[in-house]
Amino acid sequence: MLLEGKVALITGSASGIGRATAKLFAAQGAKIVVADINKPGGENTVSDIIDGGGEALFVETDLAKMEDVKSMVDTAMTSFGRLDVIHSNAAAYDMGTATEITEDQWDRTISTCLKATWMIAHHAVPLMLTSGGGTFVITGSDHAIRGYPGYAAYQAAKGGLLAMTRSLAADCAPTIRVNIILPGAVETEIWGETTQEERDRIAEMCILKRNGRPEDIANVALFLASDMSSYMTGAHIVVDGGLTSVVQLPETE
Amino acid sequence: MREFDSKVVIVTGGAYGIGKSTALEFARNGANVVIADINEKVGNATVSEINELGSRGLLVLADVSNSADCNNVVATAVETFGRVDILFNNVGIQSPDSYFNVEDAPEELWDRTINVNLKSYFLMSKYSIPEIRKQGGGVIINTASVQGLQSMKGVPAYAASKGGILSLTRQMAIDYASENIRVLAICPGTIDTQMVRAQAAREPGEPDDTIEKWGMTHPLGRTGDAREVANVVLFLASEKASFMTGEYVNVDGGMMALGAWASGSGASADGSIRN
Ligand SMILES: NC(=O)c1ccc[n+]([C@@H]2O[C@H](COP(=O)([O-])OP(=O)(O)OC[C@H]3O[C@@H](n4cnc5c(N)ncnc54)[C@H](O)[C@@H]3O)[C@@H](O)[C@H]2O)c1
Ligand SMILES: NC(=O)c1ccc[n+]([C@@H]2O[C@H](COP(=O)([O-])OP(=O)(O)OC[C@H]3O[C@@H](n4cnc5c(N)ncnc54)[C@H](O)[C@@H]3O)[C@@H](O)[C@H]2O)c1
Repeated sequence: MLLEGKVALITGSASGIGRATAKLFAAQGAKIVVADINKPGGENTVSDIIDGGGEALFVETDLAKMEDVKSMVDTAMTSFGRLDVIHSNAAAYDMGTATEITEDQWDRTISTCLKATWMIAHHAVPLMLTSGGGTFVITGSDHAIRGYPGYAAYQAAKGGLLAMTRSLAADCAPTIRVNIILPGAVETEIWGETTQEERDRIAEMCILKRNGRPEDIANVALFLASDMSSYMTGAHIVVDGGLTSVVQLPETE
Repeated sequence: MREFDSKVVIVTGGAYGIGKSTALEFARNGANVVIADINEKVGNATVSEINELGSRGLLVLADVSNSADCNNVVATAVETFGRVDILFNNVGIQSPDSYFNVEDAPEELWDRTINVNLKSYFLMSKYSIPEIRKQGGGVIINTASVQGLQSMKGVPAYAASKGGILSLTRQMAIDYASENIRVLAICPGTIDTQMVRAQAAREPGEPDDTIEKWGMTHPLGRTGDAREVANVVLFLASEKASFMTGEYVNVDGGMMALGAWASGSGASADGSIRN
């Protein structure tokens, strides 16, 4: 098992990618701290892990709040005594162009998508350094490297995460490795009411001709969290079925 | 059941270095491995190590810049093991006496570098894809380099070959996605292999000190071990990476994360910035 004896904190693990990562890390031997604002969802993830023979704990957290983030990290430490792996993954965002979104919407998106990762690092890195280091995995997005209309704040947040990954990596080396995953289109709860037609249209743009599954991202998170990636830090991995490796041109035939 | 049981992997430049380490890692995980290399003695030694792991290894002597040799590698692989599932295009040369700007670089140096480092990836893919297709799909992994992304003085042919590999990777990913053939690249930083040892030997002072100094330019404060690259290749070749194609992954101890003006290994263990 790749994470035997490790303690992993995963934010946004009440649903989607975070939930898949929590279950996979648990199956690989880690004790899991499930942090989310969604209580029923988080408790669900915990009971799934415990039913599978693993160990997990839910900490209700609003990642937009400094005091919540601090108490989340403290709870992880008091409950399990150490912290080896962090997967900063939660996100919630408001859509809109720069002219459309309000200041509150901007602040809310930047807080949960960008500032939360800084706050986690701020509180957790010193503790991880004293307990011998570990790995920090961030969920970014292909929005960090490609432009999509109508996502002004989210784009800024995800681009910020990519740049922060590099500086965190430099500042924490060699004790903590910091890497970021850039998912493309992954069908999770965050897609909300997206119609089947729209889902199919997006799948068609991926060169693998399908949208991603949460497990596709969880597998890469496990790789980055484990010693398999021991010479990687400050790196990004695009996991998008080839969505961003092609320019979408009209069919020539 | 191991991840690569019953699979057949071709590794170019598998006698030494990253290729050797990856060949052994595939063997340890159940695959039979064909090594295409120019070096008979060392290639055979690697094959013996593969056989000791309980898998079957085979050396096919080849200069992979040569089309007939590449064709023969694939044909011999199929003759011996009946199939090809994974191609690891890894061969690469950057000899210690190859450092010139474009004006001074001899044309033969350009041709040799491009032919071994880039054309061989085209040729090996060309001959392997029909066999991979027969298995209903597979994976091609290409060894590019951080020098395909950012460069240094005096390596025009090498840098062009590595940048070319990244473009070729995207291209083949697009052309073969519908046939379930994933194509990915890795960009290693400085990995302590034969190649890097030879380059260190041309610097003044002890090679070990030079390699340690080079290691310090990576945020992790050291050069990488070939096995750390092999682990990434196995991951990309496995089902765990089933939603990845057309991309590259840096395996560089953080080097590409650093700005040009930043000092190498970023921080000391207490988190304070080291200068
Ligand atoms: N699904 C995709 O297509 C896709 C693509 C690229 C990137 N991503 C990224 O992947 C990550 C996970 O997204 P997902 O698709 O699994 O979405 P999701 O909605 O299924 O999961 C996000 C989780 O974050 C939690 N969360 C939101 N705001 C929070 C807050 N303030 N405090 C605590 N928890 C909060 C939610 O409750 C939810 O459980 C996000 O960072 C997202 O930006 C997703
Ligand atoms: N070591 C590094 O720091 C580093 C960094 C970035 C990229 N790379 C790349 O990794 C790959 C492997 O490099 P390495 O460091 O393991 O090198 P290496 O010199 O240790 O191994 C290269 C292998 O290729 C074989 N070879 C050379 N020319 C050949 C030819 N014409 N036909 C067949 N075989 C031939 C050699 O015999 C040897 O076994 C190369 O593509 C290299 O450019 C290496």
